[in-house]
Amino acid sequence: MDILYLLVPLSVVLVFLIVGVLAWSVWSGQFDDVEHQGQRILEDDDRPSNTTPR
Amino acid sequence: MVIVGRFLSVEQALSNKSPGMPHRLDLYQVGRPAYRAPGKSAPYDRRSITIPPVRPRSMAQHAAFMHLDDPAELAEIARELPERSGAGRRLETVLTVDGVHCAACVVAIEGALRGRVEDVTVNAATRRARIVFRPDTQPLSGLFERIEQLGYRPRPVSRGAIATAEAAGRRTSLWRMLVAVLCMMQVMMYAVPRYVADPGDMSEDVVRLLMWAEWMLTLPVLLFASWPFFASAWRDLRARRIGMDVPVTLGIVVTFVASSAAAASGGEVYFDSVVMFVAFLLIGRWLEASAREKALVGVGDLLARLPETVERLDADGRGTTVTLRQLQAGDRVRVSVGQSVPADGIVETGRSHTDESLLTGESRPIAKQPGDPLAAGSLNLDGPLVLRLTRSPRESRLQEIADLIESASARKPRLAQIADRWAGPFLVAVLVLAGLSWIAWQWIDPSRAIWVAASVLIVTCPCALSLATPTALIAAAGNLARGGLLARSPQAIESLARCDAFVFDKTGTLTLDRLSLSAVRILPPTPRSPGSTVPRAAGSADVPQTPAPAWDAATALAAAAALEAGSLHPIAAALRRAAASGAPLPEVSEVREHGGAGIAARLRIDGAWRDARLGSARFTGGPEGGAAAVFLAIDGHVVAGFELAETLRPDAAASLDALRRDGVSVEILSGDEPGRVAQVAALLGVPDFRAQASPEDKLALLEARQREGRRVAMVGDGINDAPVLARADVSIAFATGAALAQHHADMLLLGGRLDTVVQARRLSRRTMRIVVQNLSFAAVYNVVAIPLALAGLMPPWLAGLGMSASSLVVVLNALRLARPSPPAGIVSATATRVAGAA
Repeated sequence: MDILYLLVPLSVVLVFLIVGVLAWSVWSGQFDDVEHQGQRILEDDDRPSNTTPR
Repeated sequence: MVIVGRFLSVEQALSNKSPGMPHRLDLYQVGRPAYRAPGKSAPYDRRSITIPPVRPRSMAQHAAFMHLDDPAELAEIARELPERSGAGRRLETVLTVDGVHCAACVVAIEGALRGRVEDVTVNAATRRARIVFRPDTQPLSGLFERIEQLGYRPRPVSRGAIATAEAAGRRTSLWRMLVAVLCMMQVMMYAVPRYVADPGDMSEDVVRLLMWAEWMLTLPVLLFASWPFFASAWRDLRARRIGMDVPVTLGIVVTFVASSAAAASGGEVYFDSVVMFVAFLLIGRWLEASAREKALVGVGDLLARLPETVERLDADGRGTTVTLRQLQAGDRVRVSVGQSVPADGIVETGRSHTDESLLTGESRPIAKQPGDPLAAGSLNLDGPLVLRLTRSPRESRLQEIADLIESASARKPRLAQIADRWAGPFLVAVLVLAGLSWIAWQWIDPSRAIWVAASVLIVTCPCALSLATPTALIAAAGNLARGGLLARSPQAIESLARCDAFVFDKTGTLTLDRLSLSAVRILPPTPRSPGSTVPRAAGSADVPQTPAPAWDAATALAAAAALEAGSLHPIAAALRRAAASGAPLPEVSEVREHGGAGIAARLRIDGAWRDARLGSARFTGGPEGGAAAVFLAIDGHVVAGFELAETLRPDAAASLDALRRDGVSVEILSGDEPGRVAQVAALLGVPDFRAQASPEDKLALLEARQREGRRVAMVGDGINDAPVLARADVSIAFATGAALAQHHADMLLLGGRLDTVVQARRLSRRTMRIVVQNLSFAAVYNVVAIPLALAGLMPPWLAGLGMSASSLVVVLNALRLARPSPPAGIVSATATRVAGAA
């Protein structure tokens, strides 16, 4: 059972890593508009500034 | 701490920019309303999109709001109200106050501003404050400063600012929620073995290890995710009052500190309860915030329908791309298919259909041809149009609607005011109760005293109680607005639900304010001598006395419409409409309009020019006293008479029927002559009507009904009937034509459909039912939960679950009102006409 002394702290570190990944995804705007992204493929491409993430 | 650092940097990015600099946020530029980056979306002045910097209180602070006193800035964010008693200008503005969570905040802000301003209402559900102030004696910057001193962050609500700040706020709250939920899951993983293991299964060291792992993961939840609760509780304490977040914060901190002590010394730990409580509370708040956003037809939403750039045409028809803000009345603009109309105007060339559902709730496409008005925000569906603007984008109907919704969402319903008054004492009672329970349990079981006190603190949070009313009314108001009915204040919905008598005005309410042609009568040739003038058409002098062609209804109507082609008179419009689908119009020349009598012109019929007159019996020599209102005379012979009628609204009969079926008494009250009112009443099957009523009569009748104990809704014309409307319990007006602000009614009908009123009444009754459900649920929950917690039967985790669940239930219940209501079962009949009017 000694391995627990390594694995439990490791899992804590892992959670912090996941929290960091979540931070990146929230602040890069991935959750800002979850409905629209699915419809983007239907949009015309003639106004690129309006359809690409800045 | 990585997370905290990240969070702070965003906050700083939001607050430390200098005015005039748009904040850069990594937002998607995807054509969805609230998420646009300011630089792109700003249809208005750049200044409007800066967020006032927030600095610690210092000398520089006053300067932070100084720019708000600039007249140009004021015009952007405030609305002029009609002057009263000559005490100077009055302005109304709406601001977002960050940090408002509960009733206590509301009381604090309102209390601080009252006395300085004419009127102030703060709505905790929308975080909006509505202020009526006199800029000459009390500058806006001073008011903002006062709010900031209380520890809140005021922001003027001007177009782009809302989108930017709300997008950032939304991300932060989503982020906090995700951190809390993720940590909650992992803390549970560590906690479960401790709960299920038999004594001796796990060594003491492993138990310790798991406890400290829990402690590690509780830290980010405590330090980052629950920050909003701490901040708001601190604000409350500094202002020496008790807000909703004070017991919540105490509960979190007490549980955490006691658990940490227990982890160090051995004993029961409740880290899992802390993270779960915070996570559920944040989920609840996040849901409520997104619900509020969806339910409230946000100003951002409305105005984001406007295009960012438009193609303006110069005199030669060449197009240049300009921003919306550069447009002025009189400009010509091309609106391509799929684009929305940038400002109110009139179609110059092109034919198309437009979707005006955003403005009027009318879902059918509306045909547009040259000469037809176009409203900003409507969508051009199937043909390019060239538009001549009649108003600049800033003055458009859409802007008016947005302003109205904005100011309505800041007003507070009566029920919520009552709840606010009770919240303060209730919270004090909670704290006292928690303290008493801790003392009492010292005798019963000292080891559990701290947990009982924490449970009491957590379980009694009156979140559900304070959310019960505002959320429901906002959801309902949003729903009504989508159907084309604007409520000026949430209070109107409450009043409408109670109404049991409807009084309708006739003209413009039950009838359309336009005439329609009801019959064309061909008159037999009179034995009078031919007309005094001799036709002198070019090249046809040799056929002066050809016999008049045989007239039938279609040709007579075509001739009349041709004569009236240039006239603005309502009769002319009716004739033109009637002739639009009939025979081709003959040529006319030498048109002379005789004011009040009719039109004389020369008309080309079968290749010959003839003298034609169209007008009253006296002007044309037609028979007097008949039903016909205007006559057509050719060469002095009266050939046809036209009967005109008022048009009933297509859905008037069905709507009134539906109201009566719903158990509401219906009456007609009109200033018109008895004959016509009786006719309309008979057609609609309304036995109670009063004609030739002066405004005083109308008032007296309303008051008589109210003395009978009825609550009266008055549906009428918001401009001429203003005093009568003001007396009614709730007033509804058709907002056609004039500026919305000029209509004095509690509710404004934008779509011109009477059945909206029926649906609104049903929805408002449903709203009140849901409010009552919510209030009683919240009350029952507290009555049941508090004794359980006091008796020690509720561990902290159950208290957290119960409290968060109760506010979720209330919010979700209220959200049922945001769903589109089922059709009222009113079919729109074809237009019914009342004969005899002229």
